Amino acid sequence: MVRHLARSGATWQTLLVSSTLAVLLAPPRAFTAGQTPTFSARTEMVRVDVMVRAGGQAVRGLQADDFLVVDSGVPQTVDLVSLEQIPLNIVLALDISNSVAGERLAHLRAAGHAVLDGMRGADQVALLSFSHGVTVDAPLAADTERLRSALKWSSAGGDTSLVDATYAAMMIGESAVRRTLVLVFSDGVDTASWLRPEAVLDVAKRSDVVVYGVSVRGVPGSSFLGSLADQTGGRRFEIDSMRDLSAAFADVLEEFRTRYVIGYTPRGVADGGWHPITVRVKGRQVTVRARPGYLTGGAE
Amino acid sequence: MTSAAPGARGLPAPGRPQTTMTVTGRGVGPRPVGLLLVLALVVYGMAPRDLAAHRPTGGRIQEAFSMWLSAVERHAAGGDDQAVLEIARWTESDLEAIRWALSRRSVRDAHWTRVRKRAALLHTDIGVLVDQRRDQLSPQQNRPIGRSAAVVTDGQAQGYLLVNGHWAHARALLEHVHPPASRDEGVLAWYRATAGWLAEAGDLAELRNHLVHGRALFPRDAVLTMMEGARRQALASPRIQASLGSRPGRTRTTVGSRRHELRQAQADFRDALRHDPGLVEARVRLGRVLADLERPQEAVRELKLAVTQADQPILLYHAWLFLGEQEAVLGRIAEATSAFERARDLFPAARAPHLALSQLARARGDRAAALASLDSALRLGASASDDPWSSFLVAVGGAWGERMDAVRRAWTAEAP
Repeated sequence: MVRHLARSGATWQTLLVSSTLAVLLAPPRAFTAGQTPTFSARTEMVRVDVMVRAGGQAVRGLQADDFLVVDSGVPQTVDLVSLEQIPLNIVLALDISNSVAGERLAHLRAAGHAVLDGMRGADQVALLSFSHGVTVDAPLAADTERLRSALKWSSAGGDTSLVDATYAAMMIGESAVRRTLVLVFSDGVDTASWLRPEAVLDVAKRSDVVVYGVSVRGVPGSSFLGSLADQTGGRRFEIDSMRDLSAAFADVLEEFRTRYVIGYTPRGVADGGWHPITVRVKGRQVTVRARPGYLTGGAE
Repeated sequence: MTSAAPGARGLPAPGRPQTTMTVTGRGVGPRPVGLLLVLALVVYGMAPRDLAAHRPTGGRIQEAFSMWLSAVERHAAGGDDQAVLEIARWTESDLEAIRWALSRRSVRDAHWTRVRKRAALLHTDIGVLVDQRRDQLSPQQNRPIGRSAAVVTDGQAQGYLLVNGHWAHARALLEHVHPPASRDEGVLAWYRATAGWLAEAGDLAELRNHLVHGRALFPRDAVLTMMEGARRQALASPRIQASLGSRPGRTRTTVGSRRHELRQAQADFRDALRHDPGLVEARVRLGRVLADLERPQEAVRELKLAVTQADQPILLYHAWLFLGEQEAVLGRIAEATSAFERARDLFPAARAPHLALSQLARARGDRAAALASLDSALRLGASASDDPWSSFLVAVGGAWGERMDAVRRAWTAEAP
């Protein structure tokens, strides 16, 4: 069905709705107390957000046939490729704990504005801030002015609930029809979350969301942001000082817009469980960055 | 894991969420006397010229002893009065002189036991009130001097504070009461209450010293043993472990690695349960430590026992919350969901159970349920009063305020 719609010129959004919904809404089986659930998911299309760069620049003009995708050791046929056509959900998750008190907070506000300056047409953005708790300062919407007014925390302080915040950000941003970028800034380690890093990494394996993490070089931090970025095919940026934060945020947004979204219908692979995937570009010396796999089925 | 409400009679509730851990400074700097004076000035705002009226001078030990005795008799236990104001300025060497003078008095004399106990109340109150001014730490004090404690906020070391000598003085006074302290239930109650306060204040440095002395006197007391385990549990937390890399200057620290502290905590909680198998808080904490050590089967065993034994809502809440997490680790989703729901129903305003249910729903593919639980979580506050999980690492040993009230009543009622 997907291939037919592609040839008929149906919009990308129509295709994504019809295919991705099948991925996200596969019905779970009822659980029997005392048994481990054996969730059976019918995955019709897998969507992978891919960065392709050469010499520090984004590589453009690639088509479906240029990509080689291997799922669980089985080569796959890439059905769809899109570059910059799909509107974005951007979720900013910003650390306002004690580690960013004072002048650093002003730089953080400015960086938030830099992201809003880079929004286009149908993009939506949400703002989360976190210290000892997580607050949704502005829910997902296209209204940038409302979000600008939300970038007005008067002070920073308290502990850091980084893990809880990234979970919330991924959940809020997930979409069947849009690409989601979660942009996290944190300047320290998690000191207050309930959720454990492993639990949130498990969620990341089941999601299409791409996480970019930004932190300040030299400040003791956790490996969680880096692991989350790797798991989702994103990147971790380290900046030399908070004065570089606005430029870093703008760079992240620009890089994200130059990524490809490729889709394929898995064939010859198991239904559930972890599916390791590799993505390459045929015949070119390029750097490819994509999530290392995806997880379907019940909690493992 | 409850504590007295702020303002209740008892020790003043700690205000902070900073933590201190003991380090030993190698630097050479101003004499401790000068620094203590700076701190006292900040606390009480008196001008330097007023100090001479209150501090003893060398060679006048008897006069100093009389001043001190007067303050002890005048002090209203639990209050911030003139006696506290006078004695707070005294240095460690001043207090050593008092201990020397006391050593000349008979230990078996009931009068001097009473004096020692009343004095311990005075120095306890000073210790508490001086600790409460911790947020006025000098930003220039980035080098440890003598016996110092590192102040840690949100996982980063902020600077150093000189160790408060009044706690040590209070302990020293009580070690020479009669009958011996090790047979005095009031001294045990004092240790339990003050250790609980130090834990909630985040003063892990002083708590370490406190428990060394307390457990030497009461080696088989389950509560003090559990508190030592809880101290280790706090040292294993990211808040402390992350700060080890950010301490300025050359220092030694008594803090071990995360796994080392967790293993020590496990041993302490097991010891506490050997002394008192009915100490539910120790069992809940043991379950959490086993979870942190990635031993879910053992954690579930302890936590399942804890939920049958717990009779306080906060203990039951933590037991269900931790049990739910470990059931999920073992893939027992229905059991995990049920446990989280039990925790949620105990404290409906607590965020952690809603987050847990959300993540569990998402992991099984139910995104709608995950979003609904997340929405509930985000609508709730994150303070300790809303969610006991927020203060799990510091709220140890039950109602320390009530315990301290009882000690005060007992020691001030004893006949002169």
